[in-house]
Amino acid sequence: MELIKLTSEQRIKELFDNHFHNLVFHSFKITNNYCQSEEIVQDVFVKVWQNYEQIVAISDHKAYLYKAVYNSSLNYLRHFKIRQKHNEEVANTFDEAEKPIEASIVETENNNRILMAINKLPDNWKEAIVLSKYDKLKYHEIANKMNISQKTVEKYISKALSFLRKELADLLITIAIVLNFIK
Amino acid sequence: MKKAKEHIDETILLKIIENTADVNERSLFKRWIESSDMHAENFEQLKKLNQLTSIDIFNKQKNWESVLKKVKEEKAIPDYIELPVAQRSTITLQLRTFMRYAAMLLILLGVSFLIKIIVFDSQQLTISGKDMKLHEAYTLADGSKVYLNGNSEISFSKKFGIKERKITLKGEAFFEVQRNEKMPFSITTCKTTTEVLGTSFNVYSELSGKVKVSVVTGVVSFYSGEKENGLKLVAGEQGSYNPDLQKIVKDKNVDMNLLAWKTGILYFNETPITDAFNLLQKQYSRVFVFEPNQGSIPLLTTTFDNQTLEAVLDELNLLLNTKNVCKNDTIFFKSIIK
Repeated sequence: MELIKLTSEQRIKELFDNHFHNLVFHSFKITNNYCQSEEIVQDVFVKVWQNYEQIVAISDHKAYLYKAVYNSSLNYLRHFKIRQKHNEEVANTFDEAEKPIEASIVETENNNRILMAINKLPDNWKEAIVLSKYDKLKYHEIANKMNISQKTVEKYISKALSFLRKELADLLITIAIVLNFIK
Repeated sequence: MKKAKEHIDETILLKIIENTADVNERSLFKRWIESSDMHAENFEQLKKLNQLTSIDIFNKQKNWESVLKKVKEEKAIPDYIELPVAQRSTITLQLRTFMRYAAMLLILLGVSFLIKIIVFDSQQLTISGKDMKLHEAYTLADGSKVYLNGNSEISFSKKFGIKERKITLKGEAFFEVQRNEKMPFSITTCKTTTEVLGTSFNVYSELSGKVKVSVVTGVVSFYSGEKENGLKLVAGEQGSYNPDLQKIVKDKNVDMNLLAWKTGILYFNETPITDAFNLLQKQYSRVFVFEPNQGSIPLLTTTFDNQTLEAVLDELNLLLNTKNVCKNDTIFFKSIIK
């Protein structure tokens, strides 16, 4: 019988699958820009891959990744602020660049707001809803992973949605109007 | 008029949205949504929210593919991406935490021990013979009297006489113990304990560990270690502790002069002059030297009862046929018989 030995790629993918969304949310707390947070999380994993030998010895991978993402996000902000200042100066000397489509700005803004609202949720509600909406797990799968009953999962998600509805009420009204208008 | 139902369980709403509600839940929902316009509006918002959150903002798989691509292409990672310094393993952390607590415990123990010594020691009283006048007794809390010889010391707790009567002795002292059957009086030297109920007796102890107890009145229990292994001494008896043999024995010949320091009485009965002079030396703090003109050493038979040095010298000269010459603290006895 062959011993199944996990390659470094498989190990890292496992960590990625388990923690990706949570890490993006974690980074998002700082960046408020989910596209950038995605990039940061990707880059962290790349760097982890490049330094794999050192990572193996670590006992708490989750904590390690969280810390990496958090610190990197802070560093990014600092870096970004400097660049932003520079860019402002540079932009003033150039003609106005092609304006991005308004719709996608709105979309990005909406998503940012949703993510921000999700970050406000209590930990277990947040975990349940992220597993449901982003990892696309079924309720019984979530129940398994979180070690709770399916009924509790439903409770967490419904309560989360209730909260989000209140939190994003103004957003939802606007969208309703827009959607109706498009129709 | 039907009262509007204010509240519905959120899980029912979720089930309605996902089409998993049963008949009961559906009817509950119908009643709720019809009870207020607000409810209907909120529900619409909830549906929209559900749609919004279901949109795939992130694509995990795509993100992973980006990671693979970046690794393959050996793309340079921005500087702001920072990996934490490798943590110390949790085992070491546990050990360090344990050691921290162990150290704290040790310090606590050390400090409490120190406090105990300081407080405990200050609870002890020490009386030295130097503090006392000649023939003056120190009276203890229970009425017992102690006569200390020279630099001898006794130590006892400030609470002496309340629950216990325990004394520690260094050197030599004479005790007159008040009778108290309920509270035995005990004197501890380095290795021995003398226990009494009410008596008068002398305890002589040396630094070497040799102890001699001679009883004047009453009964004394004299032991080293366990009381059962000890001696009971009555009036007139004497016991010795030999530190080399670690044994207590009853002395056959009671040294009458053991109490001379206190009583001032010296007994000599055919005592060789050299021994007699040793005792006289101790008593009068002078060196006594006998210079014989013949080979034999004379024997001395007499009693000196609190006599002055002059009287003693006169009597010695008479008995020994000598004449004494004083040089500093030494007294030389020269035979005058030719």
